[in-house]
Amino acid sequence: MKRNNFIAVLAAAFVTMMFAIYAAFIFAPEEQTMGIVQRIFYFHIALAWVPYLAFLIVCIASILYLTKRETKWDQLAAGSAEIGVVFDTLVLITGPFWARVAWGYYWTWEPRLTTSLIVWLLYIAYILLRRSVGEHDKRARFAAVFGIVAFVSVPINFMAIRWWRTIHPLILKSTGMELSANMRVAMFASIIAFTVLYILFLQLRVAVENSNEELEKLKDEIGS
Amino acid sequence: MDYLKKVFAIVEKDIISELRTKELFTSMLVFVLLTLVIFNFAFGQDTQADMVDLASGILWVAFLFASILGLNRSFVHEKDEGCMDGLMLCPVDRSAIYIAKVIGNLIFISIVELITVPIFVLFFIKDAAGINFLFFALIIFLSNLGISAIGTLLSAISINTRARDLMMPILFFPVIVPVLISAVKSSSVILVASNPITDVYAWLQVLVVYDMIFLLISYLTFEYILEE
Amino acid sequence: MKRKGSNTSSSPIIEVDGLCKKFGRRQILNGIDLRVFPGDFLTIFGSNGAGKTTLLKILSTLVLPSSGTVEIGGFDIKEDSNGVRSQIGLISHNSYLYPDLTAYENLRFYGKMFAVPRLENRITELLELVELEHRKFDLVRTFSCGMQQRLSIARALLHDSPIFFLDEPYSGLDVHASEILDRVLTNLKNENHTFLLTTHDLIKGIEVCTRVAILNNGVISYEAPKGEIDPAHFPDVYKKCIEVD
Repeated sequence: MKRNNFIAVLAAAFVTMMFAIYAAFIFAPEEQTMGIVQRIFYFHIALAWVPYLAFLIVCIASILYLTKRETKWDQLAAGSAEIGVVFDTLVLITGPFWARVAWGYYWTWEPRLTTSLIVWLLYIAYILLRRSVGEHDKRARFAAVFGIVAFVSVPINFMAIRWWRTIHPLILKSTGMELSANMRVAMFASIIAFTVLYILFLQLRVAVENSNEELEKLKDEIGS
Repeated sequence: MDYLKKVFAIVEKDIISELRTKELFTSMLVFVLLTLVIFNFAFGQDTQADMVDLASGILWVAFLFASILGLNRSFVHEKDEGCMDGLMLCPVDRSAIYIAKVIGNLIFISIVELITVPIFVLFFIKDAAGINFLFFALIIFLSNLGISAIGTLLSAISINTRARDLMMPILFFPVIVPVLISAVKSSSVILVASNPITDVYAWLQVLVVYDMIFLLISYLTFEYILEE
Repeated sequence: MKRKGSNTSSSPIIEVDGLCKKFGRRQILNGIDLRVFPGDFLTIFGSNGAGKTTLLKILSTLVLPSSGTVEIGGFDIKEDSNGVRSQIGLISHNSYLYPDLTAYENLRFYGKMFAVPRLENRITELLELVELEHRKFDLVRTFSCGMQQRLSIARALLHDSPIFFLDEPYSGLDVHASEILDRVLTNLKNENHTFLLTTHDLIKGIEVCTRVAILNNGVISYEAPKGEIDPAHFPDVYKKCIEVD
């Protein structure tokens, strides 16, 4: 059952990604002012959304772990956090490229990018916390508590950062981009493709975690 | 109420303990003063130029770092002497321990800040007349509440990890950003007497919301940190 | 090995069923069943790492069980942990005392936390009992080890609990403190309190108890009332028990 599930997701990921690439590079028209580099926008947006989904999953899995104490929820949280950080890292890498083209600077304390940075720091902290606790049960508990705290702080962070920026208005204005219908398709195609990719990676990651657990169990049995 | 009596018993114990050694208090106070002085060398100017924006940031960075010192120490004490177990043997809800620690931390941090604010004004603010110190106190109180609320939970987590003290700033800083932003921005407004006080309201709202949310979450999740 | 229960007619004050505890991958306790009746003095022997301290910590609510049930004084250890805590007093090698507080302040703090009635009188009474009334207002930091242990005994007695857990209480005690502990225990036994003692000292352990148990490999591998034990041969019985794997 699990294997079929996995293959189905893999196939979906392949198909959606192919379509997204097609949509981004061919289907969507070239943007007037920024040229071909603008196309990175579609991927950047998709990449930017996935971490928030990933960290929502971390929060929900954390709550479920604390109430039910089943290891699978802890595995889900750990896997989701890691993948979220990977995607967020890509956001922070593609973001500056976008910023350079749109505004001429590699980095700007623009609210969304800044929030992505804070979120990145939050979940790096989550991962470091996990690494700093040896015992399974303690690690899962601590991570779960921080997983909830971290996610709750995201919207408040976003709000505060946004107000921080509007009170001193950005010198660089956003390039009010008009999205044609085709462009919108490209954007959504990208978002869907990367979400499916996230699900794929998450499955893989949790499966690896599971195998690790089984390996440990076997080691114990042989050892004693 | 029985619950409150026990909370205050814990707070009283922490205060008596601290008054005897003054360990937390002196290290936090000295730390803040040193930071203010050092920042002056790093950023300061001889001219009467408007340091207000910068000053506000300097003040809150100093407070934040000092808070981390204080928050860390409050649990290290209990853990090192095995007293945490003593506390846990008492028939009291774990949440009461949380509340007591928050109150204790709030008191220590606030006293340190109360002493350092006049010195700060002396160092960095050229024209102190007309500053609405009442609102300033309100900002400081609300920020401290947020710092204590989430800081108590996070320091309980961090001293139970391998990295101990080092884990605290890693966990704490990303989470405390909204408080830092709100405190700095609203302090900047306050420190220039001519600014309308209404500019501060939005930031106070953020602080209040933050405090309520994190007090609640920490209150609910604290027991999971203490259990073994 | 042999397992026997006690045959008093009252119902057990401590009931442990299938208690298991796992720390990470290590299984420390592997199914403990125990019945302790009011007035019992149960001594638990076991080698280092056998799980004696863990067992007492679980019974004192400091550690949660991985599985199994524990009922103390009618309170369930998970559902009613505060109820359990008010029924027990714990004496171990940790003194649980705050070094920067005076003896008086330490007792007053714990007295408040246990809602001890007529606290001032009780403090004075206990300080006299452990012969520390002359150091009432001195910081615990200035106490010797033996004095700290004596004060710790006073702390454990504050709320006059029906049950006492003693985790290797004689280790680290000087002669004076040992005498005081002996005296205190005798008084309490006369008042029909219930005791659980863990110790390495085979002689002392058998001397004070009414029942004996041996903890080995996470289970109770031997249990017998005092009457059935020959103190001369017991060390051999003990060695046999902990050798069997």
